[in-house]
Amino acid sequence: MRYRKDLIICDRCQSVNKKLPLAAKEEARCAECGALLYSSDVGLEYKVLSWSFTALVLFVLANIYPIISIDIAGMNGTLTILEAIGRLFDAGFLFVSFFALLVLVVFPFLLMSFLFAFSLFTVAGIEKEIAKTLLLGVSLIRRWSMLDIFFISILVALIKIYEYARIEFGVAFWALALFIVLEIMLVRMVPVGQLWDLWERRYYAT
Amino acid sequence: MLLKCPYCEATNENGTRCARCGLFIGLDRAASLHKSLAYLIAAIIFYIPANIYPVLKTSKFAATHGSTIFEGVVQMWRSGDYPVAIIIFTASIFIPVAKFAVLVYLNYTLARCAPRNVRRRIFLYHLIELTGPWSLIDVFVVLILVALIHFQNIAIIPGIGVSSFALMVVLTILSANAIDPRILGVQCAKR
Repeated sequence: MRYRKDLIICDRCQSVNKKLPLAAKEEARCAECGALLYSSDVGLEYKVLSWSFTALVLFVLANIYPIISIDIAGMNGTLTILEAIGRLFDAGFLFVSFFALLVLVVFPFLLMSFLFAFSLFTVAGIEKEIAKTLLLGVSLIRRWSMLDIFFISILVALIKIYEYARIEFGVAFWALALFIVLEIMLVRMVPVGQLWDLWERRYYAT
Repeated sequence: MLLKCPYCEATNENGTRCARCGLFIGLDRAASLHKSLAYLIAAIIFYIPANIYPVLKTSKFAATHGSTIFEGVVQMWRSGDYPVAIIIFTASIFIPVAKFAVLVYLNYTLARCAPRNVRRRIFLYHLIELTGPWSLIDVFVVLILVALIHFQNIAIIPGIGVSSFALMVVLTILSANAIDPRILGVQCAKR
């Protein structure tokens, strides 16, 4: 069994393209349909390293501080992710609370820690097999982090109550917003195959 | 035949395991179809209670008032929040129904083994894969409102509709994931 390092298959139209080296800020598009195949990855490992660390710090902030607090005629309510999940669990909604715990807390955290550890090993050039396992984890759970959807939900929920309540945004709100920006740039906009190419280049120098 | 690994995106020459990441990459039309169809049927079943039962209840003093997803949209529209009403309508009513239609269509063509309109079907596949999880907005809104509003006189309580709705969304995501976009263009062997 072998695989071709010189070819890449387009996701959108399944046609086979030849892989060419790119200069900085260039991107490769499918010759058949024009979909993005990969982009230049000069210093990708350092980008992943620094951004995933920042994202982890933001993630901790987003979980320990309240996201918003509201005031309805003297009655106060605050929102933190874990407390919200706990309240649903207490109300007997086992499936929804476990699912929310996974996609809002466990998977985002694992995703960023995997990326951080992976880039750390890759930059140092050690622990080839562990780096591979971490990357495998990233490939499998990258679609199951749903904090971006949660963020939009916060805005929708606020619109439902803004007429009656005084709303204050907490530290965690801004931390969450920045976390999502980083996640989009690091996970959604970088094809996972590019991280695998990086791993390959580092450990099997040609 | 060249095969793209769905996990690490390596271009494999052949085989059933990816030479780079070691995961299973073989094409199995029957397994794909059976799994996807099973999840889809389960999702359609859960769609019914998700729309009949209230997703959240507002209790003011002693009175409790529940509202279903559709009632929530109507309420938002009446109170003049048109953009939000449209977002909720799209995410919780339009996307799930469109997704059912697309999944039925994809499964039907898979079962018929008709490799026509391949590009359009791959586009539809990517579309439902991308938009599917956004239906969870309604579930998360319930989660947020329940956490925020729990006072003595007024409280928002989750309704059982939210469990069915969340299950329905997860099952449609699994159903879409079970379809392998690479088999949409495979021509079956004549029996």
